[in-house]
Amino acid sequence: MELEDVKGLLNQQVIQFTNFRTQDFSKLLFEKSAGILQRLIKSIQFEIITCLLFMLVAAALPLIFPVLFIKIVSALCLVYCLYFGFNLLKFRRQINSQHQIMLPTQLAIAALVQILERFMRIYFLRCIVTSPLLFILSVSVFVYEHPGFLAHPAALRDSAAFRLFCLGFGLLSLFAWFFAKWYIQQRYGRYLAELQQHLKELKAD
Amino acid sequence: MSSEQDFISSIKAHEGIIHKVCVLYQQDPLQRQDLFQEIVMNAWKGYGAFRRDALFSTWLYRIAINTAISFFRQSKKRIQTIQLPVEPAAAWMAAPEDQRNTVLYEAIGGLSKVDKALVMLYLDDFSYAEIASLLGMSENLVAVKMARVRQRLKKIILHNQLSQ
Repeated sequence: MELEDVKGLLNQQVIQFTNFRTQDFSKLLFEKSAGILQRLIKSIQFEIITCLLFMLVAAALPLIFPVLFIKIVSALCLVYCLYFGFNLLKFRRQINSQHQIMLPTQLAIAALVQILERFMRIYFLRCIVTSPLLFILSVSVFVYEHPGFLAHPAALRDSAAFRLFCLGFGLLSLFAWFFAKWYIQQRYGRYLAELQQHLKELKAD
Repeated sequence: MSSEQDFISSIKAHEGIIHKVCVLYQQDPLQRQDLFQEIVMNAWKGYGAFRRDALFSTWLYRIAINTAISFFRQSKKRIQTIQLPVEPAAAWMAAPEDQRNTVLYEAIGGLSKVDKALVMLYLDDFSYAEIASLLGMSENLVAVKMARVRQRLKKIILHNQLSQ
């Protein structure tokens, strides 16, 4: 048995496929990509659009309700969306500008792994930061509507409703944390693990 | 000639490379078609940066292999791994020549994506140095891996013969 023997068989199969293929190449060039980078770009675009929508709402709110509290809440939302929106935009540009597919295989796979890990980090960070931010905003809204609690913070702390709210929020944050982990793992985790395995194989001595 | 026409005529002349990669990396015809499309699109995206001092075929090989290795489908089924026997089988030795080739060809299909790339480049008469440069590995590692691939192929074929 020799590996070289299979060369003829492979070429024979290739000829068979070449003969049957009549697709127009120029049409193929403008088809939609099914690749992982395209999927990643779509995810990033969705995140950017969400950030933009939130920014619009945050910008419009102080115009509709011109009170100091709303202005502070809106400013917080704007900073949050600006930070993640800007990071995602920068990341998207980076993915588009990289021609990692033309690098030697090991470097190309390493670049892909790096891109995926970075996206997963940004996505997860966003999920983690959102929960405490929402908590602070909710408590702020409540205190703003019930200014009496500002003079007696202990009354708020000791109230059963507030404790229940904190518990609910804690559970929700925990769920958000697990959901983010599960979702990101489901969408990109298996692919990342596969790429890491290829990288290991390409590096192994 | 426009860049698009130039690209299409170059890719048409080297179409066999893409088919070879698709045949080795995807058994399912639909996925093979997707991979073919993905390779052509990636080549088109990178064509502007293609340096004429390099061979188009080598450049296309690189893109095709990189695309095939990083190609992933969410619905992909996991392949069950099998325990390979160590004992040689006499059945293999008795098989007719073309049947042996088919078995060997099927065995290549069971290799890892990186090993498939090695085998394919080797079968297309690339030297170890060229394979190393394409894949970004050391020449020594290419030699070591090729030796392991040959061993592994032998084991897979023997296992196939034993189970028949």
